[in-house]
Amino acid sequence: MTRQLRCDVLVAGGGSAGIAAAVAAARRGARVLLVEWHGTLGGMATAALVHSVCGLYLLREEPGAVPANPGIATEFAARLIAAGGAVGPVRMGRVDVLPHRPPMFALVADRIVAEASGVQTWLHAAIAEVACTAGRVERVVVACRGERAEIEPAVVVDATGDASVAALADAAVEIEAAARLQRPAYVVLLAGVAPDALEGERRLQVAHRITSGIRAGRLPAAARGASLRATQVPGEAYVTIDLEPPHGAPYHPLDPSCLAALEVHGRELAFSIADFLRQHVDGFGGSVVAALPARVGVRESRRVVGERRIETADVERGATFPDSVALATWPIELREQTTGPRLRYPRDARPTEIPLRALRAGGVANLFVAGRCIAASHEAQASLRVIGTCLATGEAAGIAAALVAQDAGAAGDTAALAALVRAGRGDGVLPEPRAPVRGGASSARQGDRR
Amino acid sequence: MTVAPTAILDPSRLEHDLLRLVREHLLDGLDDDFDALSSLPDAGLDSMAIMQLLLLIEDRFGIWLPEEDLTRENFACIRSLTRAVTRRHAAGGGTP
Ligand SMILES: Cc1cc2nc3c(=O)[nH]c(=O)nc-3n(C[C@H](O)[C@H](O)[C@H](O)COP(=O)(O)OP(=O)(O)OC[C@H]3O[C@@H](n4cnc5c(N)ncnc54)[C@H](O)[C@@H]3O)c2cc1C
Repeated sequence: MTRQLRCDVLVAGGGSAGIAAAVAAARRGARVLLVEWHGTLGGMATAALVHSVCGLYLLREEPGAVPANPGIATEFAARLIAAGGAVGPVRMGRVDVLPHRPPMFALVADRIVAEASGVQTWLHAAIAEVACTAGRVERVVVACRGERAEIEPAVVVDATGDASVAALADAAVEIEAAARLQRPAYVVLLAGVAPDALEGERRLQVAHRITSGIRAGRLPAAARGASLRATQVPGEAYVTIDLEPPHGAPYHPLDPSCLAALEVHGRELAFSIADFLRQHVDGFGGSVVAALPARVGVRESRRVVGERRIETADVERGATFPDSVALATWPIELREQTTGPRLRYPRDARPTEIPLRALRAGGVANLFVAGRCIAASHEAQASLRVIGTCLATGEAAGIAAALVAQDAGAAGDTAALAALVRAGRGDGVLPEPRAPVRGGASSARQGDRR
Repeated sequence: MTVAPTAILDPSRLEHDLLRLVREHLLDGLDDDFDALSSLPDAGLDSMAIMQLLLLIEDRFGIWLPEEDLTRENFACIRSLTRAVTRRHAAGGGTP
């Protein structure tokens, strides 16, 4: 028999954006159902082994990281640090980032969600169908291991990363051409690495050995997409491999056979790089692949067509909006090729305001969007996709959703709703800047991007 | 495309070419005042970007920088890198 359930706010997807949305909505009294198909919360920040939180701090020349978004983004970072799941912030070139440990990200997410009484979490559950009538989501079908549940939510937050709810609701969505989509990456954790193997000039030596290995045919050319980073835990290092689908196939992040090919190709590459490091690079003789990601990392897929698209020029000049609900501070980080990131900084290091209109799916009154699939151009998304910004848009969408669930009429006036969201998040009470971490393990990575 | 070896002998030309290579292939949106003396690490040239640069230099100029040339001093700025590439060229190109 199909289970039936009503809730105020259904949050689809439990990545960074979904966690923040669920907690924010529950704290405002909404009965929330959070639906996630992995066994852990965190999305890319846990399942794909992404291991740094970017976009938490303002861009600035002077040292000293200043939080960009008060509220859950800043709270989550503080909880991660307190739990020993992150050390920082760390200055890397012109930006401040918070390197984190994915397992601790999952644990902190569990705790912060559990404390927000009012969130019911379903794991191993997938949003499968969405039924709309008269421009409203009426019913959502959730599938779990052959069981079905029908949810009647007052409001939905699409935090699937892929704008899947919007697509299933037949709301307008878009996707960049396959050749330009930000490339995916396969991340693995190595253990047993000598403590100084990636310190100082040794990093350059590692890069040289890999490059020589490619030239000599000992490594496949695709190993060119690899970069290594030591973690705060002795002996651990991450290998991140930016990938193309094998055999020149086009990249389609929503196609199961393309995803399968990427997973298999990513694993093959990771193990051949690990073997090569073990045999040819000092300090890696005793290293092994200690953890695989639950999924290949996808940086960009579908984006919703909202009431206002955040354009590339908006990020380049640090646009302001009357209905701003969050700040984006990360530079445009292009990964259209597998030869490393290309960063474009906004004029005068200005933050970009994110309008609530970019978090509303056009034409569906009770559907909000958060995270990496909000309404943005391909290049603007390359700034907005970072975890810190996803936490901030998640919180904004969660507050807005709770308000609309309490009073459906609030959905009508986006500007007024945005003002309520800002007030609800406690804007103006920016936390004290924290001193940046210098020296120790982090200084070896100075200037090294993720 | 490999340029004729004689072109490399002109360090100011090489400096110009390397600057363009870094601008076009590795670091998008560099400030207009980025020049041969600007710090490469500060501009974000990390070890992954150095890997790409090694392959690009070999591809464009036919010069392979061996491991001993991979020092922070050589990769401090485009001018120091130009000097390292010129020296390697004079020493026979560095190709094994
Ligand atoms: C390799 C790589 C490196 C990166 N590096 C960094 C970095 O260093 N710093 C940084 O800040 N950002 C980085 N990013 C970007 C960042 O990790 C992501 O953009 C961000 O985590 C996205 O968060 P999200 O909540 O929007 O989506 P996701 O994290 O993708 O979460 C979406 C969640 O929804 C779930 N879901 C999807 N569809 C359904 C469905 N139908 N039913 C149920 N659940 C569903 C998914 O399982 C997932 O848990 C990187 C990304 C990649 C891929």
